Amino acid sequence: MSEELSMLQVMLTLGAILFAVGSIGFLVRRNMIIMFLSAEMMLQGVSLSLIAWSRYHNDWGGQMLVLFIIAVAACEAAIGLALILMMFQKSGRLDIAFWQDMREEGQPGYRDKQMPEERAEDQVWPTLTPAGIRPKRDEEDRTHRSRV
Amino acid sequence: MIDLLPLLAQTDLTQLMAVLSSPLLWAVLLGAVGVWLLLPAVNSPAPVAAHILAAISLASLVACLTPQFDVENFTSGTGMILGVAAVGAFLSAGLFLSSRKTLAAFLWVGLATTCAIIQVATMYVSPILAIGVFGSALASCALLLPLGNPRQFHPLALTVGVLFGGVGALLALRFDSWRKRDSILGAVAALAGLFFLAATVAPTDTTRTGFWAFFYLLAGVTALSAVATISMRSPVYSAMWFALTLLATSGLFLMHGAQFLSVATIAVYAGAILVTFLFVLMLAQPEGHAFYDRISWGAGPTLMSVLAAAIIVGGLSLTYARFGDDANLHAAETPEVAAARNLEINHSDHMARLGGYLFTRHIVAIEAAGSLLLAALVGAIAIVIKGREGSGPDVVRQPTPAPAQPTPAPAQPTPDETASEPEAQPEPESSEERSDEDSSKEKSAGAVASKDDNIEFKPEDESDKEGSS
Repeated sequence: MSEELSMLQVMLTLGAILFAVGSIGFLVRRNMIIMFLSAEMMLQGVSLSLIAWSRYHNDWGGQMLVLFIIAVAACEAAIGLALILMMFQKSGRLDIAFWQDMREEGQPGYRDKQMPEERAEDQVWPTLTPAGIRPKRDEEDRTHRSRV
Repeated sequence: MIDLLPLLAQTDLTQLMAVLSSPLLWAVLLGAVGVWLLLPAVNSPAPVAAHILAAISLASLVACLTPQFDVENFTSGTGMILGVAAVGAFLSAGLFLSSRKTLAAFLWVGLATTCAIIQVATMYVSPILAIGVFGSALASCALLLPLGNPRQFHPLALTVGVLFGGVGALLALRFDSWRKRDSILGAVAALAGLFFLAATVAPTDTTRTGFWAFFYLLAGVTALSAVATISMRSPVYSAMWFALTLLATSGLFLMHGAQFLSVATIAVYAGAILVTFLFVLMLAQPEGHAFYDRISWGAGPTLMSVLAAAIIVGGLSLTYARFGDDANLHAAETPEVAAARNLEINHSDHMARLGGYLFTRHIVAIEAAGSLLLAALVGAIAIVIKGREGSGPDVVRQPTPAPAQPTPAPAQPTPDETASEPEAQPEPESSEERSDEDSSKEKSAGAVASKDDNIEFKPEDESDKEGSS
């Protein structure tokens, strides 16, 4: 098998893997942001295939398409993240299952069978090494910065 | 239909041995033992499915013993591949049953039954139906065999690769009950899958070993970090792994004569889009572990989506593998073409040529893309402004359409919990306190999830939120 053909096949296989993994992530994960990342990963898989074909056929067309894919992905990220932020402000969580009342009429609702248990090794949190004196906490700051 | 006795009377010892050594038989036996092991778990939905699968297994065994039964088939390549599948099923059974999960049983019985049924389907109906009905990665063997040209591509390696990749992805996706053993096994399985997939497309004549080593390294990093992206429980880690995916991808772009796009990917994707993701994560991620990062839609949907992905990868790489037989594609690669490639895509004036092509031939598309970006900018701002208007505190406390729905989102906050929410909001003093609070909150949320049927929005104090964002 010639070298260029092998390069094409490796790239196409990798593009298929990225697309498939992205679709798994979109279907399996429930965090809206990770679902969004998975969709971007699917786009990335398509880009890989286009680049490979562009090289194989010695043509700029594939690279042009990838350029537009990047532009569309940027638009998608802007709008999608604004939407996610709004949805978070309404629901207080990033869980896509919260929005299941948007589903089709007559469909049964999804309900978790069991909640994941919190184990001992999950309780380990990243810590920062303390440096200097601990600043005095401002009461006004407390009320205004609940989350960040 | 079953004419066992005459068949047994005609069968001599070698035929009997062939039947006994057939992978189908072992697959069915494994499936039966799997069902037997499943039976104690009465309360989960698994036993029903297991009974169905066992019935299918037995039916296929019976179907194999009908007079059309062809012993020769079992010694051919089909039998070999299915034997590998049965061994894979056995191995995964051992791995999964040790963890006593229903997913385990699904996988095991599913694998064992799949190889049994594919065997029947390839013998009696058609390979296409086998793929259409069962749709697992194993089914691609059935298509591969009639087309088979082992010199050009390796159906066994392809199948085993997809199989291992699927198992690895499944192991990696068990983020609801993560164990270190699972992730190690998943990484090993995914690596093995990548190895076999790479073996199907390896070049046979190359002098540039360094180039190929780097190429495969980048490809492996891309695939593994992609799996890590979707399997990390913390979204921030997911974003970081996705950044690694993007970096490896842009390295691949660079090796394929797309210098500008490589840099653009890093700048736009990793630099801008991913940072926006991280901003939103910081704004929106609740403190502590969110339960929805550690739970999925259940074992069945996860298995189904992994199988669907295995079909995608198996089917596509099957198509790519046949490029080796395509005379046109071979003819396209002549020294003249290679020289022309160095004069066009790999030219030292890459950027100038790309820009020239972009702004002459694709000028309208460029303008459209610019307009799209502007529209997205305006749209994003409009969404944020509209969302602010519609989500004042009084509006949020009385969500008119929602309470009529008797369909809860999982783990609704109870009234007393929501009442205590504002006290939990200020930052706790130490990380230990915070984790304790979170775990107790989540436990209570999980406990009431089954009772509380009202959709009730969390009474977030919106003025606080606007102050923070």
